[in-house]
Amino acid sequence: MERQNFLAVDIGNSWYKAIASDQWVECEYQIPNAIALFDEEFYEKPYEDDDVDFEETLIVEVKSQAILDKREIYYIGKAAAKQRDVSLTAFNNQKVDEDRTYILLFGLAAFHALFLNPGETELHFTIDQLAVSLPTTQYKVKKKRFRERLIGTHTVIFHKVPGIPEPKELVVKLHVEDVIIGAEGACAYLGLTRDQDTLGIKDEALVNESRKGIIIGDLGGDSVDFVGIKNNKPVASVEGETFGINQFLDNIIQKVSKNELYKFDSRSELEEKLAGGPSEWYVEPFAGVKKDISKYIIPQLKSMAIKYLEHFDRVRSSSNEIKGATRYIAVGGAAKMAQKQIQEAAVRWSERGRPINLTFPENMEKLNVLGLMVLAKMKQLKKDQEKTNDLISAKS
Amino acid sequence: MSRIYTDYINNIALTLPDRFIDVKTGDSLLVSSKIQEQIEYHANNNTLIHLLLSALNSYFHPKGANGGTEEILFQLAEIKKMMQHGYPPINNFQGLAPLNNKQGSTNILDMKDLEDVLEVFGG
Repeated sequence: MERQNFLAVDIGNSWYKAIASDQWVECEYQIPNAIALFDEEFYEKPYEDDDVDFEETLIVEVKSQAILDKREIYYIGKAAAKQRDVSLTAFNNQKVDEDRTYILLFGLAAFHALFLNPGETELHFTIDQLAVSLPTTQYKVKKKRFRERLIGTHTVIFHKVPGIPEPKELVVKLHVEDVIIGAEGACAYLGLTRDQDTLGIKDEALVNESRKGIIIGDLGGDSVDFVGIKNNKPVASVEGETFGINQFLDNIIQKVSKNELYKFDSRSELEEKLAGGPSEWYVEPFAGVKKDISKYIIPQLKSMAIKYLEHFDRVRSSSNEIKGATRYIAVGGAAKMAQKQIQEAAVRWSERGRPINLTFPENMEKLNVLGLMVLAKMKQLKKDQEKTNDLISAKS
Repeated sequence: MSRIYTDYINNIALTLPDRFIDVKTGDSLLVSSKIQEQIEYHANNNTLIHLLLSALNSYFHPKGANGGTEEILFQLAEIKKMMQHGYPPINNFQGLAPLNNKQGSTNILDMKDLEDVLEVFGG
């Protein structure tokens, strides 16, 4: 069989998490959802090309039918987060309609293509199946349009690539053959229950539990998505609420900047600290001065935890289909960061006779993208099968 | 003696007297310990605003409470069904995959299962 390229991307409001697989090699990527306009005037030429980490200096130009060609060049990911004019996601942003989605998505895919083919300056890369996610509300009304925009050929030009003398640049032509779109939260269930290689069920206990009902609460940057699973199928998706960790991160950033004279580059810088655990919860506004910032972090995480549980409680009592659910599962990067606070808040609910006992699965921040990869492989399998069937019927 | 309950997150502060006047009847009533206890809980939980609005809602729209009987009847019917059938009814499990393809390769994967998953999870 021919080598097939799969790319699964969880388009988060904080991070883009991606897995790329071609059956031989599997790569994982994670870049902050940040872009910034590139300005030649402010570009500092590196002294030595060897000092530059390409992954942290992605400067791209995208030409595609998915976006209006404004001939603009952007920093993406980590490179963007360090710029003055960095643009992070706005509250309730509509992923399908925003150029940033395509610039980041294609930029990431092209970077992966280069990673597999080092040394090339112009290359064609075919993605047989691209799997991407949308929050529940956007999934329902926009998945068709999203698919149409993604299928086709997109050109990504990398500028200022270390090791390549100007005016030469790297060009990647991405050919997206097919696209499958999954809903955030529901994909996490696939990630939990399906094996990445065989695609068969790997957690039968959980599938059995789904007979009584499971509710998954996917807490992300700007949205929390609830999905009810019954008999191994999503039965109810409760509208993606516009609530997530970003507003709390912004509060922390504001307070730290005001009281400790330290300015975070972006939310992702703070998120990395949070993910590192309490031992990293300090900033250094001046060399050698360490300021503890846990007093700004903990109250914000607590207040987010309380609201997350409130959403959970409201959802479980609002939908008849999932009222009898016996298992609640927390997923998403934000839920992982506030796991302790969520568990503490849950004690208060139990004391009051409305227990919300959440399960925090392993890899909870990666489940959506794992589920997307399962979808991509399944879709390709189905396509291949159909092709074989056609051949057989054509011969007979 | 009055006590103050605060919900800092939603900027709600409530001073609770011992007695209050029912604004519909004009009667002076004692604040029951149940009310006090609930207010205290919701103040601690930062849900005071929701308690107040819920209370006001059932005060001003009392017919919402009557609608509740339907819900109770529905629940009773459900319980009755469960007792009669033993729950849950078996015929709901058609969507489940065969349980024995643990170490199998993709070839063993049931095409029907695969199509089901694609249909309900992807688009």
